[in-house]
Amino acid sequence: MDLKKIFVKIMATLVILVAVTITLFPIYWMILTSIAPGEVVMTYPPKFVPTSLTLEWWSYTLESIRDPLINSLVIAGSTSVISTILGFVAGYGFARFRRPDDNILFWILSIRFMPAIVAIIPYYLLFSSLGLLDTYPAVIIPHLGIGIPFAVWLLRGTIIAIPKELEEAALVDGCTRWQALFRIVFPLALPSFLVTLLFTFIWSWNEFMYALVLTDVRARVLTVAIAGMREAHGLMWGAVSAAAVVATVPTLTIALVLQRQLVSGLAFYRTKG
Amino acid sequence: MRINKNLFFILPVIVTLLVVVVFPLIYSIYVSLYDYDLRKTTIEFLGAQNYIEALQDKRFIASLVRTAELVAISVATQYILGLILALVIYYHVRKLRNLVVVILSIPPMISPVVVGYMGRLIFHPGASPVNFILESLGLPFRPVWHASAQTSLLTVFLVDTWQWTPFMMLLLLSGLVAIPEEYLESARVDGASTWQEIRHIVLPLLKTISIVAILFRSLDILRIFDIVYILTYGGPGTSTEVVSFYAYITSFNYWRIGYGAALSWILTLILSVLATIYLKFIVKSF
Repeated sequence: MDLKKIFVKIMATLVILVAVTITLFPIYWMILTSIAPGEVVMTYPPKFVPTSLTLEWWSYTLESIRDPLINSLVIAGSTSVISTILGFVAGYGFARFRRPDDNILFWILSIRFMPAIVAIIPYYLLFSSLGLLDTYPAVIIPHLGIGIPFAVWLLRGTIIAIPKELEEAALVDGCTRWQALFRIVFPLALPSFLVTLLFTFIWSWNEFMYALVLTDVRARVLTVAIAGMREAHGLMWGAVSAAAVVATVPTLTIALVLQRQLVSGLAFYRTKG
Repeated sequence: MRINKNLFFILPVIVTLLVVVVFPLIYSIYVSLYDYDLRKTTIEFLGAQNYIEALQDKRFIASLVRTAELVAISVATQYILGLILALVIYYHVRKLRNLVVVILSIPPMISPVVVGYMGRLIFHPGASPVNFILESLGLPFRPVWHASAQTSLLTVFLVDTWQWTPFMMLLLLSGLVAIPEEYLESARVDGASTWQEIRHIVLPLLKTISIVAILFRSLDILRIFDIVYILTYGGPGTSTEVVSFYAYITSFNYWRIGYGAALSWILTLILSVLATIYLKFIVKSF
């Protein structure tokens, strides 16, 4: 009996150790590749522990990805601010004035599952006739189509949990609806508001397909630049790795901050209780 | 001036979504009915001809079958691994639970572009650390992974599974944590073993969240594009050409935009059937 318990404990520890190793190794490997000198990058047998380090890839990369980095920040920042503000107002409307099984609400959620390619084709044609291809709006506009549904759902869930009585008291005291919304509801929903800002930012920051088709050089974002480096500098593994690390830093930071909200953030789903 | 409160607050979002989502979709249907080709100067109305061509296009059907295979094997593997991890963490990881969960939930947050690139590093045919480990363990095979048509789809599957197994784990763990203690205690009082407890109490209670997780991942993998683009670019040959990728190169490499729009609409219709089922289940959780 005791032997069996010990055996189960050892197996469980082993499963966790293997899972943690498999999770972390590719990230470690990517970071290692970005700081390894040219002659040890991509050699066989591989060197798992570095003997010497270099920053040559980093100085090259930071120079060449400066513009895409700025573009990614502007596009993800705009997407997240616009989506979250519109989502907050609509989330309030759905929470207070519409039924929980509202059809419009589920129509908004269903947009999450639209394949990007079906929207990219008309966007490409429309933006090229409007001269908008390769500009910030060309990426921000389609990104709003995903950011807004997410923001509406997350913030509606938060606002529904805030007692109505607080606003009603303010309305009786002569506040308008808008004043009640921004003075009473907003401070209480602020944590969720920030979570929504961060999630929509990350989603837009990570997105690839819209940005690939709808930008060229001027508005190129980081993910597209990484894909492009892969083709143009086939052998510069260190440089591409450095760019990939740059693209990963904000997502990892935010993932650590948002630990508790990850499930609802990734799946639009929350468990009861 | 009195506006119906009922609609007032949600109106800005509805109008925005009509402009940024619904209008492009309608325009896309229109495009799919034409012989829209960016290399030609004239376009011709075809009616349903693009859709008829799609259903007879062997390369398109093959991409559909390939995508379905990828969905089946990836979702099944990720669900089983995610369930094992969630159960192990729930029953055996106490002190370090937060740390373990934080580490395991890193991959889903990383951009698929970066994940695909990591795949190229890890499975590089000439310098794969994975092959080195296989060799050190004395295993007889040294595959060339995404560089061979035999193993390229397998490599896409491995990379996607690395990224998304933690997502299954997170969802299932959140379901486990929500199970009321009393349910489990009454079973323990009756002398049930852990295995019996899992089989007869825990798994049935995880049914809804399992269906949600499986449908959600199926919907995602049906649309898979980024990892394929970076890791294999659909190749070698057409061995990893999934539906989104075929519609993409039809539209933006061969410039047959009308036909590409028809292909993407067929994918959208398949997705909307599954999405409707998903939404039915998710109603319960809100």
